[in-house]
Amino acid sequence: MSEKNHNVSRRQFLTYTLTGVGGFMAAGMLMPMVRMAVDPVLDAAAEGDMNYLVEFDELGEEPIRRELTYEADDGWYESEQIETIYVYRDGDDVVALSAVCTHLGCTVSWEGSEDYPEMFYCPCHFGLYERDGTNVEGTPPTEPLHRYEYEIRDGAVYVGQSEPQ
Amino acid sequence: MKWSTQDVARYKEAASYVDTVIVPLMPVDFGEDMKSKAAMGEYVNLMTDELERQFHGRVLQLPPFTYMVTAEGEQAVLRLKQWHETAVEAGKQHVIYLTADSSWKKYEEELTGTLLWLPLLPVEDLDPKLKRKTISDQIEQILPIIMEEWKKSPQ
Ligand code: FES
Repeated sequence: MSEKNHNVSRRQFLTYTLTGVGGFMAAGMLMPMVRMAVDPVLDAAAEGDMNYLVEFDELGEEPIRRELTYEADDGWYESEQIETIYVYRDGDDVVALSAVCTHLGCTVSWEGSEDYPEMFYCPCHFGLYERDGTNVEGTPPTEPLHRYEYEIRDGAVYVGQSEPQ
Repeated sequence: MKWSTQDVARYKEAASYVDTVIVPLMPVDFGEDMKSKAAMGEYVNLMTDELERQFHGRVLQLPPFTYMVTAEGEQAVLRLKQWHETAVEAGKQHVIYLTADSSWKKYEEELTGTLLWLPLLPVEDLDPKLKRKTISDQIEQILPIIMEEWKKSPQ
């Protein structure tokens, strides 16, 4: 192999490598821009949606369990999301609580343990919450169950996003 | 928690609370029962996902353990034992396998960890609502078994 040939191939190698690195850098710069362009759309879609939960007539003072299913799209896959919600009536007000334990996210159940009547119980690390979602001190959760915003249309309860109380 | 970058990051912070590993067993085969093997995999995946949702904060859901039914035989049992060993070394107290493949039954004694055998229900043709209901009903049966298992060594 001649000296000249050798040099050329080395230069080529460098060129390729630099393009490679440059490509990477360009991707790094593009990513945030794409995100900025796409994110607001995603957020708006998520925020505006109110989903049908239950008929207002079905509600009493005892929390009942309902499951909400909706399609979520992360840009690659459409997947079915499921949320478990406890809902009951408090006078004219409706209380819709997320069943996701605020400790590490297990699903809690109303009166899930015989030892703790009238409470939400988390089977994972024995977290407890009062009927209104307030966490019981001395159990792992450090904040109340999240509560859904809701609205009543034609006698039916619709829920939006859940928020920390 | 799932085998995803997001959940694994969370797992790392809370590892001591997550004492249980769940593994769906997924048969692969060519030949006559190819379709039924696929159905088993699909069903077990659905069940495992729902179980993870119920027990998110205490279980780590590993990717499926896949095996070649006819070619592997005992070999698959040995490999699965390896998974168990690794989980135990990482400090996990409970390792639970979910399967709809009855061929595991004959290895139950030999297996380390807990085998949950789920009778295969033909959910693939159901409409989404009914499918969902069927899965929830089945999971209701499984939850107490796992909670019992947890009682054996409370945290
Ligand atoms: S996830 Fe509910 S107490 Fe830990």
